[in-house]
Amino acid sequence: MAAKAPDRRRNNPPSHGTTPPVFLSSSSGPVKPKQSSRPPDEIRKIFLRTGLISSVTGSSFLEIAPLKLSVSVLGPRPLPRTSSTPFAAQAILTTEVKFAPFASTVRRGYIRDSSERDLGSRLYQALVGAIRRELYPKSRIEVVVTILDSEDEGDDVNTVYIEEGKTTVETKFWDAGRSERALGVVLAGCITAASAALADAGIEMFDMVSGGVATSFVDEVSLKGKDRGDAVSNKLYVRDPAIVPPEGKAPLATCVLGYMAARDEISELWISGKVGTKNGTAEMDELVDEAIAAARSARGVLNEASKERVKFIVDKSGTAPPTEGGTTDVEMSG
Amino acid sequence: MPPPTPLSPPELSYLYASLSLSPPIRLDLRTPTQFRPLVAECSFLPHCNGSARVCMAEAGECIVGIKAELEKDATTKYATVIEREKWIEVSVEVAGGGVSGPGSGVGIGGISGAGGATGRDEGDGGAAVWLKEGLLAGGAGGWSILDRLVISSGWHWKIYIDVLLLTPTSHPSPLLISAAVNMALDSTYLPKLTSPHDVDDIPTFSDDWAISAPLYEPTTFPRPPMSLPVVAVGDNVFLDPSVAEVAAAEAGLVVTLSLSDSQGNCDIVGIRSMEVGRGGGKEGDRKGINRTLLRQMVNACVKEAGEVIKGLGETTHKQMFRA
Repeated sequence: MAAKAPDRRRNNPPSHGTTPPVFLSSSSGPVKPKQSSRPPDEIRKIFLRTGLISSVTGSSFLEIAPLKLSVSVLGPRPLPRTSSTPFAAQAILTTEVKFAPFASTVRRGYIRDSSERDLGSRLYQALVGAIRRELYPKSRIEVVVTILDSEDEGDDVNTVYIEEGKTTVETKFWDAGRSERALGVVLAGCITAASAALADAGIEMFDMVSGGVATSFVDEVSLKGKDRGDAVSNKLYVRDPAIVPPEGKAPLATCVLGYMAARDEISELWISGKVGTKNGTAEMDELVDEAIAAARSARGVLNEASKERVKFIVDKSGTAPPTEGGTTDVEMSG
Repeated sequence: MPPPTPLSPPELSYLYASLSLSPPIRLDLRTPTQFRPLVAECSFLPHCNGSARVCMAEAGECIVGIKAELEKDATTKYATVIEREKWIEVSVEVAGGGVSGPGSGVGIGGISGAGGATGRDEGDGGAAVWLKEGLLAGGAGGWSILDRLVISSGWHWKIYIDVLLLTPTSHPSPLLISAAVNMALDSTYLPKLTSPHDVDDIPTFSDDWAISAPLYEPTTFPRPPMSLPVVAVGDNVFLDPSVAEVAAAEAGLVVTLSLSDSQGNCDIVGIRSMEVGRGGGKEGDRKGINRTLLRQMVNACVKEAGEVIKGLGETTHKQMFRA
C-alpha cells in the first residue's frame, strides 16, 4: 500500500505519538490556598519567558500566581491579494483573547463570548499605538492570547447569601467590582505578555507596553454608613489585587492600564467602580498613579525577559545552529 | 481599525490643524465643551416597562425598550455573583447596518469590537458590555441596581435592555446610546407586588400602573449612569465629538458618570479609552495619554456634564406618563 499524502485539511497528529505528562505528587502535604500577606504596594511575582512556541514569529508565556497565559504573534505577513482587500498604508493589527474552556470555574465555550471580545479590543487599544505600524504597509500582525488558567474564586467567595424572608440582600462587598478585578488582572497580564511576544517577533515599537492594575478599598464599616463612602479619606490602594479583598475592606474602584514607561504615556485605560469627584480628579489621579506604579513594576520583568531572550539568541548563534526553546545541552559524563 | 470616515488625508490634516489651534475651531463652530442639540422622548412604547428615543443630528437615532420578566432564582438559598449578573441583559442592534454591512455594528462608538475585530463574530460587540458594566459599576460602594430587582425570596426581575440603532454610520456616538439607555432606565416602572415578600410561591402583582414602582426612585441617588465621549487634539479637549472629530483626534476616552446629588455633581463610575482615528496616522508623536492630559479630559467631563445629565433627567421626569 502506498503511503498516503498527509491530509492538509486537518490538523494531523504527530507521527511519533505523544507521551502523557507525569505529575509529581506533592511532598509537602495538602496545598492550602492562603490569603496573600504581601504588602499592598507590591505586585505578585511574575514569570515571563519568550520564544517558547517555535511555529510562530514571536511568543511568550506568562504566569502570575494562578493566572497562566500564552501569547502568539503571527506576522507581519502580507494581506491576501484580493480585490476586496482595501489598501492599508499601515499594518493591520488584530488581537484575540480566548479563555480555554477549563480556565475558570464556569466553563467557557469555544466561541468567544462578549467579555473575551471586549478583552480583545482592550488589548488592541493598548498595543496599537505602540507598534510602528507605518513600517509594515500592506501587512497584518496577529496577536493571539490563550488563557490557560485564571484566578477564580471558590464557592465561598462566589456567592451572595440571601437571608430568608428578607427582600433586600445583605450585600457582600466583593459583589461589586469582582469581575473587574478578575478581568483586570487578566488584561494587565495579556498586555505585558503581548508586548514581550511582539518584541520577540522583532516587530518595531515606539515603546513596550506593560500592564498594571490597582484597586481602591475602603473599610467595610464606613460603607454601611449614610454617606456611602463619600467622606472616606483613608483609602487603601492595592496593586495587582487578588480576587479576595483584604480583611474587612470593601472595593470601590479598579483601574487597569497599559503604560509606556519610557514615554510616560497611557495607551489603554479602564476604570470601573466609584471614583468620587469632591476634590476634582484627585481621587482618580491617586488610583491611576497606583496602577502606573504596578505597570512600572511589571515593566522591570518585561525588560528582563526580553534581555534574557536576546542573550539566549546571541549565545546560541555563537556556537551551535539556533534552535527554538530554552533547553541546554546536557553534558554526558561517566 | 480607526472608524471609517470618508475623509481624505488632506481633509484630516486640515481638521487636525483647526482643532489644535488656540482657541480651537470646531467644524460646527461649537465651543469645546458644548454638546450638540438632541431630541429625546420617553415612555412611548406601550409594551415596554420603560422606553426612550433619542435623536442627534449627525449620529442618527436610537430607540431603547426595557422589558422586565419574572424569573425564579437559579439557586434557592443563594444566588452566585455570576447568576446575579445575568439578571440584566443588554443587546445592541444596528438596523440595516451602516457602512460596514447589515448588522455588523463594528466598533460602535469606537469603543467596542473594532480592535481585535476579525470582524465576523463581533455582532453588537462591546457596546452591550460597556453599557452593562456602567450599570453594575454605578452601584459600587454598597448599592447595587441588582438589589432593586429582588422581588421575594426565590424570585427576581430579569431586565432586558434592547437597543436599536437607526444610524447612517456604524460609528454613532456613545453619547447617543447611553443617553437613550439612561432615559429608558429612568422611566422604567415595575408592577407593584401584592403578595407578601416572604412567600416562595409565584408572586402576584397589581395591574394598576398608577401604583407601579419606579426602578430608580426619582428623588434618590445614584441615578442611572451616562457615558460621555471626550477626545483630545493637541492641547485641546472636546466634549461630544462628531465622527469627523473622532477621526482627527489623538486620544479619546468614554467617561461614565452618575449624578450623586441634586446639585448636579457627578461621581465617576467608569472610564474607558476610546478608539480614535489618530488623524489618519499623521498625528504628532503622541502615542497615548499622559497624566496631565488625562486629568484635563476627565475634568472637562466632570465639570460640564452634570448639567447635561441633570437636564436629561428633568426632561424624562416631565415626560413620564404620570409626572
